[in-house]
Amino acid sequence: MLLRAAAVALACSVLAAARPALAAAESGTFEITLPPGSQVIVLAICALYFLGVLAFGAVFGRFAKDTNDFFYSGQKFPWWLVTASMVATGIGSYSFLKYAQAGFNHGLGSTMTYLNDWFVMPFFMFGWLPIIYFSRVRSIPEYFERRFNWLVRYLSVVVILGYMLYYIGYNLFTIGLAIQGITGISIWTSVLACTIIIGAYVTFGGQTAVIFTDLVQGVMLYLAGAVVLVGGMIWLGGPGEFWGWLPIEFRSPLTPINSDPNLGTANTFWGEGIAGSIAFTFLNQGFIMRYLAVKSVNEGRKAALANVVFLLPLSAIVVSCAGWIGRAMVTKGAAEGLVPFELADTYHTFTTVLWTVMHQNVYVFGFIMAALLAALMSTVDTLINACAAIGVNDLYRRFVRTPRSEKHYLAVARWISAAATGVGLLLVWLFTTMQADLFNLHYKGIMVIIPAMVTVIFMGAFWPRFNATAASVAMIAGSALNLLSLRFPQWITPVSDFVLASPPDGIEPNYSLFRGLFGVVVTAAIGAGVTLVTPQPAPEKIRGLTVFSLDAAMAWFKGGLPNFRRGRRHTVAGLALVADPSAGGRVRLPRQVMDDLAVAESDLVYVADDRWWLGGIRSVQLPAGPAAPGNAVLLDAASCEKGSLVADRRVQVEKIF
Amino acid sequence: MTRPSPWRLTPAAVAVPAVLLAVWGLPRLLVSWLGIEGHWTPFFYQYAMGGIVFGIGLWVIRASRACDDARPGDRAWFAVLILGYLWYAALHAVLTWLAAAVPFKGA
Repeated sequence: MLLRAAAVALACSVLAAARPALAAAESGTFEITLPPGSQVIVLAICALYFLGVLAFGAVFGRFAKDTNDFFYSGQKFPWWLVTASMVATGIGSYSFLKYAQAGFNHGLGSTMTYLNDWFVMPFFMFGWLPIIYFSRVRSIPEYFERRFNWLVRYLSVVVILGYMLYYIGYNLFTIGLAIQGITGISIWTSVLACTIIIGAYVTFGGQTAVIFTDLVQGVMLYLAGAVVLVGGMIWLGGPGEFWGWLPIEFRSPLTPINSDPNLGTANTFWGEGIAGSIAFTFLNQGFIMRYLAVKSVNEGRKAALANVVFLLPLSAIVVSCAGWIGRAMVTKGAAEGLVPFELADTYHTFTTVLWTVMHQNVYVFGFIMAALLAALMSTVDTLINACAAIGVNDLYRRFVRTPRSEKHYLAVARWISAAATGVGLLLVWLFTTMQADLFNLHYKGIMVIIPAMVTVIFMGAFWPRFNATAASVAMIAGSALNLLSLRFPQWITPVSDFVLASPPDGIEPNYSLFRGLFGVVVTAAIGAGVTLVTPQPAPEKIRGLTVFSLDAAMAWFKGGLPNFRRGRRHTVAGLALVADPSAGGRVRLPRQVMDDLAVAESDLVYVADDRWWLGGIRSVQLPAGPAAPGNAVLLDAASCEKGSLVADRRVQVEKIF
Repeated sequence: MTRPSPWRLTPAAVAVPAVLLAVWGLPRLLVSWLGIEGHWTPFFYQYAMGGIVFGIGLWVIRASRACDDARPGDRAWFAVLILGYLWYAALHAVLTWLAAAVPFKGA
C-alpha cells in the first residue's frame, strides 16, 4: 500500500515537473487552457483519488481469500452482483475517449457497437454459457485442450496473448492522450509516468483488490458520464435544445449502410456486431470469470439479459454523450457566431467538452479525470496480470517442467509483467505513427487477431463433427490469411461486396471493422473443408463440450442425472441452520422443504445466508442428503466453513437441478 | 474417431445456400425499395441481417435441444430472447423516427 502510494506520488511528481519544461514545445497539441497552478490541483486530486481507491481495495480485498476462490470455484453469486461488477469491464475506461470522438464525428451512430450484441445471444445463453459453466473450464485455452488437443490450446494462448498485449498498448496510448489533453505533456512522458504506477500495482499489489475497486470504478465511470450529460444539457438549454441543434445526420442511431467507410452500418454489423460481439461475449476472460461466479446458469442468463438489455444502452450513452453534446454545442455556437471550444484534434473531445460544460471548474474536472485515469490503469493492471497468469500457467509451467517454488513462479510472473508492459510501450509507438481515429485504431488490430479464434470457438461449441485437425489448420491458416489481408486488402472486397458493405465508387474502403467478417469467413471455410475430409471426433471425447450434449454436461456437473421436476416453491427462506456431522458433506433439508422444492436425494441444492444483501458471499452448493428430522437445515462443520455460513443463522435454500 | 454419416450433410447442404442467398439478396431488395441513402434503410438492413443470424441461433438451440421445454424456465427464456430482439428493434425504430421527426434548428 505504501509502495503504491509512493509510486503514485512519484508519477505525479514526474508529470508536474515535466509540465513547465515541455509546455512551450507542445502547445500545438494542447486543447484546453488550465489556469496557472491548476495542473497541480488536478494532479493532486488524481493522487488523492488513487489513494482512496487503493484504500477501498485494501479494506474490501481482505474478505476474499484469493481471486481463484472468488471467481472460479465460487459459483454462488446472484445475477445482480455479477451484473454490477460487469460495469467496469463493459465500459472499458478508454471508451470515454474513443466513443466521445466517434460521437463527435458520427453522432448517435457511435452507439452501434454497443447496441448490436443481441443477435448472438441465443448462441450465448443456450450454448456457450451452459457449456463453460457445466464443464467447469477456467479459461478458453483449457476448453480448447478438452474439446480438441494441446496444440489448439497453445495456438489459442498465442492469440489471447496477442489480444491482451494489443489492449495493453491501446490503453497506455489512451492514458497518454488523456493526460496530454489535460496538461499538454507529451504522450510519451505521460505513458512513462503511468507505467511507474502500473508497475507498482502489478509488482506489489494483487488482483483481489482490483476486483473490488472495479465495483467502485464502475459507479464512478457512470457518474463521470452523467456529469457530462447533465452539464452539457444545462449548457445547451435542455434536452430539446440538444436534439434540435444536433444535425439530423448525427441523430440517427444507425449510420448509412456503406457511404461512410469508417462507420457504415453494414461493416459495423458484420465486423463488430457478429465477429466482435462473439469475441466480447465468448472470449473476454473478464466476462467469463464473472459468469462462472454465478450460482446457476439461469442466474447467468439473468446477468447477460441485464447487461445487454439495460447496461449496454446506458453505457453507450455514458461514453458517447460528450461527443454528441460537443457536436450540438459547435452547431449552436456557429449559428450564434460563437466558438464554444477549440478542438484541433478530436482525440481530446472528451476532456475538452468536459472542461467546457463544467465552466472550467478545476475541482470537478480533476475528480472526473482522476476516475477516468484510475479506471484506465485498473484495466491495464488487470490485463498485465492476466498476461502474467497465462505466461506462467500455460507456458512456463508447461515448457519448464522442473517443479519450482512459488517464489520462483512469482519472480517469473514479474518478469513477464515487465515484458508485457514493454511490448505495450512499443505498441504505443506504433499507435502514434498510425493515422486513424481511436475507433479505427482499436479495431484495426483486434479484427486481425481474434476472428480465427472466435470462429474455432464457435464451430467447436456448435458443430460436434468439427475436430482437432480442422481446428488447428483453420486457426493457423485463417489467422495467416487475415494477417495477409492487411497487405492485400483487395481479398476482402468480394466478401464486402456480397453483403453490400463496400463504399460507393470513389470512396476508399476502410476494412478495419469488416476484416473481422473476412477472417470469420475464411476460417470457417477452411475449418468446414478440413472437417468434411477428416474423421469426426469420438462422441465420448466431446461429451458435454458441445451444444448437442448439454444433458451430459449437466449430469457431469451434478454427478448424477438432473432432476427437472418443478416444486411448489422456488426458494424456501427463514430456515434455521444447524451444524451436524450427520450431514457428511451433504445438505439435509426438512422433509416438507424437500417436497416443496421437489428435491430428491443427491440433487444440487444452494444454501445461502438469509440476508440477501450479502450477495451470496456466505453460501454453498451441495448435493442433498436424506431428509432431516425437525425443521432445521443440517450441514457439517466443513460445509459451513466452505460456504462461510454461520450455524444458528437463518438461511434460504433453492434447488439448482 | 469415427467416419461421418453422409445423410447428416443434407440439412446443411440446403440451409447454407439458402442463408447465403438471403444474405446476398435481402440487402439488394431493400436498397431497390428504399434507396441506398434512405433514412430507414440502415434500420431494415440491420434487423434483416440480424434477424437471419438471430433466427439461425434460435433454430440451432431448438434443434440441438439446448433449449428444451422439458427443462424448467427454458420456454420462458426462449420468449425472452425474442422479446430482446423486439426491444432493440423498437429502440432503434424510435430513435430513427425521432431523428427525422424533430426539425433541425440550424441553417
